[in-house]
Amino acid sequence: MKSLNTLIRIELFKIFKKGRTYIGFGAIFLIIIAIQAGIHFEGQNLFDFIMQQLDQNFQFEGNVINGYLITYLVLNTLWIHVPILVALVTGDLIAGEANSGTFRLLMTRPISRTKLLIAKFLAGWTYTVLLILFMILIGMGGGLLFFGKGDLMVFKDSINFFSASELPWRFFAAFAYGTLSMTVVAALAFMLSSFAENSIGPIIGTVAIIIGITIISTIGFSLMKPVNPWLFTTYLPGWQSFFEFELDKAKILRSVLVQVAYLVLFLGVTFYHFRKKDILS
Amino acid sequence: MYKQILLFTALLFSGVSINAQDASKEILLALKEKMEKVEKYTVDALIRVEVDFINIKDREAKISFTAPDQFDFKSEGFALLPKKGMQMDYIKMMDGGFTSIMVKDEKVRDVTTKLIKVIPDDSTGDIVLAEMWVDASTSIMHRMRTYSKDSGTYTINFFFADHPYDLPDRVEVSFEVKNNKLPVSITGDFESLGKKAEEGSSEGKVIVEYSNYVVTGK
Amino acid sequence: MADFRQNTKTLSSETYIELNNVSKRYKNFKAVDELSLKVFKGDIYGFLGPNGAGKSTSIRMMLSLIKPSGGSIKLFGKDLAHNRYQTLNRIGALIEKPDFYKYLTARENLEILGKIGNVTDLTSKIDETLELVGLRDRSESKVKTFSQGMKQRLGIAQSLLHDPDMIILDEPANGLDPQGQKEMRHLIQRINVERGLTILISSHILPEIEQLSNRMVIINKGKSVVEGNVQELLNEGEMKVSFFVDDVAKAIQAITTSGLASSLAESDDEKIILTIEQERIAEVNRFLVNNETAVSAIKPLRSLEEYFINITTA
Repeated sequence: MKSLNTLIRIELFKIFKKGRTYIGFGAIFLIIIAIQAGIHFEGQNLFDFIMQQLDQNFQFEGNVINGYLITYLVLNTLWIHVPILVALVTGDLIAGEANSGTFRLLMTRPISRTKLLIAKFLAGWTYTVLLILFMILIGMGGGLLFFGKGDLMVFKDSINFFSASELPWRFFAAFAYGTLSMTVVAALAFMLSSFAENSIGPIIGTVAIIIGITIISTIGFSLMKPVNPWLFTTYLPGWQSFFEFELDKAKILRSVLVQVAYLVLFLGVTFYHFRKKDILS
Repeated sequence: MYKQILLFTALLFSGVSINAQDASKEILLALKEKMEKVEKYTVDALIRVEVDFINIKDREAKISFTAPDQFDFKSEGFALLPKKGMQMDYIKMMDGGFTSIMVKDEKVRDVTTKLIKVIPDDSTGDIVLAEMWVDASTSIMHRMRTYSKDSGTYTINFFFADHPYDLPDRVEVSFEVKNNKLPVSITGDFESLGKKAEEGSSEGKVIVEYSNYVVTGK
Repeated sequence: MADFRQNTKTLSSETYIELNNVSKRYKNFKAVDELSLKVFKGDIYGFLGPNGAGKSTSIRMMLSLIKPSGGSIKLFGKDLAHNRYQTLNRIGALIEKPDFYKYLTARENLEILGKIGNVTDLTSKIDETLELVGLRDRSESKVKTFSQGMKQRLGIAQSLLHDPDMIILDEPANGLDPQGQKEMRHLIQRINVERGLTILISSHILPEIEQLSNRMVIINKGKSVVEGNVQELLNEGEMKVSFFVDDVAKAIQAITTSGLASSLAESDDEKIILTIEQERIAEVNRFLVNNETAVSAIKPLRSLEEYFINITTA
């Protein structure tokens, strides 16, 4: 019986030998570069446009077109893209093996299905985390390098200004929260993957579920109001809570708990289903 | 025309004598003269913004002023200062000539002041009418209210500690702000989709506390 | 080849695979129906049946890929359900198509499987097995560049990687041209002799099993039809023998007047077909010749063979 460590390394080896794995990194790189180029060329116009509201009453001083604004814009843009990129790899973890017929090879070896699943999910999760770290590196690292530090101005219900000194922990918390959200997305794709024989279904399925529920929640707001607090999709943009001026700790805690509950549910279904599944592929 | 109507209306209701205008002018000129003694200063400012839709922590800034109207401020982070209300602005307003009316005596924070209405002669400027509460005995302005074409009404309260040039150590600027919301596509804040933006306007306030004046005077 | 079969004819009494009334039901369909069989140490065991007979399902149950609905499976004398790791460690398998991670090289594929299978000294083991199946010089090529035959051989290589005591090969000659099939047979025989491996091999082609196996089972519609020694099964009992003669009428007359009358099964304008035992073929031939009938050819069709052709074409 193999140690989990070996299995995880094998799964990571497989993930990073696959071309599709790099689509995510490539896409993130291109989007971030596009945002940075956009800010470089159009930042002042954007700033002036946003500032119209304050311009009436105030004069300002300070640099708000900076690396932190870039990072915030990157987060704002990518929280829609990253779930797709996460599903691209995690939706393939089980179904991809079924599709290529390699499950037969693996499962006739003395290997525990539970361990294999744990290894696969942890490897998929590692990919997810690397994707987010890559986002931080290129988005925040590149942003700070090219645009420097400064205070962050965030438009929510109100206009919030955050001092440069408090931004590292806010972004850290936002990224940590985002990682949890993406772990839930990964678990959803993983669960769908355990029911499918090819990876297209789980990938499209994950994206469709997320976008579908989000659209229904938004459009049918009054109808969905009682249900929304119990949907995991409601909490996907929850990282924005860390850019409220006063942290709503109860709201954040609730977001985390609901997401953890979904994580447990998705993984539970996956393990229950896969352990007794007949390998027919 | 607008100015004349205001003046007329002011005269009509204030019931002050023509002589009072001369007195008011004297008071204002004395105030102006005193202010003009300050050629240059730098000061540390602590800025507190109290506006409904703006959340910003108190900011420190370094403000420098060079006569007659060069005004500059620097801060480490982002800082907001009210557009009107830096007291030197009003010397400028008086420079172009003005008409003033003594309205009445009024107490401002236990100090008896003369309430003077000031109408600039130059009608192209933004400010169409100013009210000033000036302590004639010390030539210190304790309060001022301006009515402008574009920026609405500003009320500025000046607080003083002992200072050779009677520069304020605290200024509170109150004004009207419009509550308008930015489109979601810019803010990316989908959470607020279901909520209704508040319409209308509310009062905003900026409090600036000054310390460590370094003044070069005449 | 005859020599090779005699080698394995001396059967061990140690049972490597034992299926007792194993069934697999899907909703309203029985893929495997109370199947029982025994594979002994040293066997090349033929698992014969037409397509869809339940061979793959049975093999998948032996490897714990599919849970049986009923019955028991013992491998190396131990219950599979409770001794999965120990038993699977002693088995190599190639099931249906030899599918690999196409985006990895042959070596990388074997490395993954070797690591999972606790193979020690993996690098030299990989070299050795690739050498055995003749893929040593392609070890660094991606599997997507491999032909079907090469993948089939890589499949054999992976099944041998961890030095198993027994390998299970599901239709290993599938998709190969005649030359490839022949090479595959030789490879399987070599493995059996050189490595002393017990082999279970499934096929839907009787001659393939006949050439390779010492023992076999034939299954049809999930049920075992017959199990035993290949030669004995094939040759036991009567067979239908076609005698191609110059004068059919004369031959029929000779036969009906002899004691063989009851064995005449059918005839057409070029041959008569008799149901007789193998030992009597020469005797009948002599009888026909003595009755002035020229026999140009004799074609025996063994009853099992006939049966198998029937169920395969049905």
